Amino acid sequence: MDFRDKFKQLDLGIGTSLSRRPIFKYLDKETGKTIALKRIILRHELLQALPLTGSSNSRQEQPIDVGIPANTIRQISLYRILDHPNIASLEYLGNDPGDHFVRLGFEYVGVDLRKFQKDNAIRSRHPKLIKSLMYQLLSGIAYYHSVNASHGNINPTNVLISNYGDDNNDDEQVNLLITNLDLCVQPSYQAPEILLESNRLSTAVDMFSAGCIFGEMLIGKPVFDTENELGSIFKLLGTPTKQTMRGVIDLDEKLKKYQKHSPKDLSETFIGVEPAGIDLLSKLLCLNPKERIMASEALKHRYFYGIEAKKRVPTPAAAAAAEVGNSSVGPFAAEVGSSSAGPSAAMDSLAAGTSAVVGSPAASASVLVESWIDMVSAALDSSEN
Amino acid sequence: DVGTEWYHRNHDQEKCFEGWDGLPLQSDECLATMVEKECQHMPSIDYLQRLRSGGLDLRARKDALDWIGKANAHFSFGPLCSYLSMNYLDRFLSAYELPRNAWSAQLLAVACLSIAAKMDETEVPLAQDLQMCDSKFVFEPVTIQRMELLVLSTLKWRMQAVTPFSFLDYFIRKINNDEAPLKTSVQRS
Repeated sequence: MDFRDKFKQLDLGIGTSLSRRPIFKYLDKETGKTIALKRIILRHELLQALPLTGSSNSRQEQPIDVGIPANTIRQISLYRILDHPNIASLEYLGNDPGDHFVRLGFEYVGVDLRKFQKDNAIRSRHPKLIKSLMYQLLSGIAYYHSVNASHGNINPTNVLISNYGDDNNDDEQVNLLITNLDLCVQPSYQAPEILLESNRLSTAVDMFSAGCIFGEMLIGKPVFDTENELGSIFKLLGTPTKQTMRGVIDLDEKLKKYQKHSPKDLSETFIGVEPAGIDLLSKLLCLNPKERIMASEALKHRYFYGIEAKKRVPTPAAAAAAEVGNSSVGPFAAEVGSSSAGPSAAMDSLAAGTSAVVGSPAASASVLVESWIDMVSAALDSSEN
Repeated sequence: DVGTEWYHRNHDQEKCFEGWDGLPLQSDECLATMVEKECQHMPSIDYLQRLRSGGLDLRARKDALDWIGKANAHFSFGPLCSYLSMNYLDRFLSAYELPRNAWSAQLLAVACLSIAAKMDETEVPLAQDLQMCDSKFVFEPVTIQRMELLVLSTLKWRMQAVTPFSFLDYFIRKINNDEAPLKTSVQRS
């Protein structure tokens, strides 16, 4: 089926991609689900034309080859196996007729974290809510790490918040999804070793980003500056020395231009936060990636005592589908979120939906009419600026 | 050579996850998921029968697998890489009607090995260099790219296949009373 027949573009854009194209949400006409599109380029020559800084796709220099880039293959096959209640599922996969790029449609529910915080200034600072959201965020990250992968681009536009509202005051019910869109975001929420251009990156990069988001939830604004990211990181956490960053990177050259700071007491910046929270934050925002806390450890941190892992909460579409099937199951599923019958049924229907859409023959054929000129003009635009 | 390569890879992995205990992937629950997922990474059920009855070109498949084995040894790729290429090849043949001519199976073999190497190896030769060893046909890079894409989309980009290798670690752990597997036993198996 043609992409345009299957999906309807929703008028509100959700941001600008790294290649300076607006990203829109699309409505699946059949299932009523909303997706957001990400495009992955299939050709090396295009990869080189686009200055995709910050994207995991461009990080590694590769020899000139006309084959499908290895990172593209790895990235997409990773998305195909991800299956976790806190990770947005891949709902659509298809390439354009000219085979220039692959289109990936990720489920999009609710709003991104930035908009959530803006629209719900008071609620989003609620300590219990922050705790629940952080636990879900770290669960998702731990899942990524458990399949030997890292997300690499955790930031507020890649964190979706849903199932909140005036009629829903229960903080435990608010749902968080990690998605993987290439939206432009400032500051970058990247770990210092990335900003210092270390070539020894690990899953620890995600943990620092999680720390940035945690801090931002606690004080209601980004922890680090947009302009001078490394400078502001060092200002709060102290300028690294050979001892604190041993074996990670050769610092001498790169640190010359930064002022020397000593680490600050985080409880002075994050006022009124419980001591366990400050302790977790300091472990997430640890400068040395080798000493930074790992996702599975962070979930066991005493800050989270009393919190339980979340089963997949039925999204509005899935819940509606369940209600159509059996009117008594729907409300029951919504009510008893943690018991077995409801959520697992919802999970099955989600899984079935995914494989039906992605697995349809239409997805494998070249279905998308997307103009090549668009792509080139985007490339030219960004190289001019 | 293959042995050393394998050793290095395992060794690297261990370094990456130093101190990482309780890998969720290795729990009993995840074993069930893996068994379930393995089905998505297998040729269709009637594949073997079609091969036997001559519905598919058995000879072409054998030649293609032979070439993959040789090339894999030539470039000292790991065992997982050759397993993956064969897995892709079989899955592709069971899903797609390949024209019966001398070169199409060879092109498929090149594309499968190239994709598998990109998934599993750290250093991948250029696709056109992959053909250096003992190929009857040499293809243009652009042709290989198009074949790669055809394989990827036919297999629906499920390239991170669940293979016997995925289960090894779990079972070795089980027979060793939940102790971390020894490198030697992984190598031997």
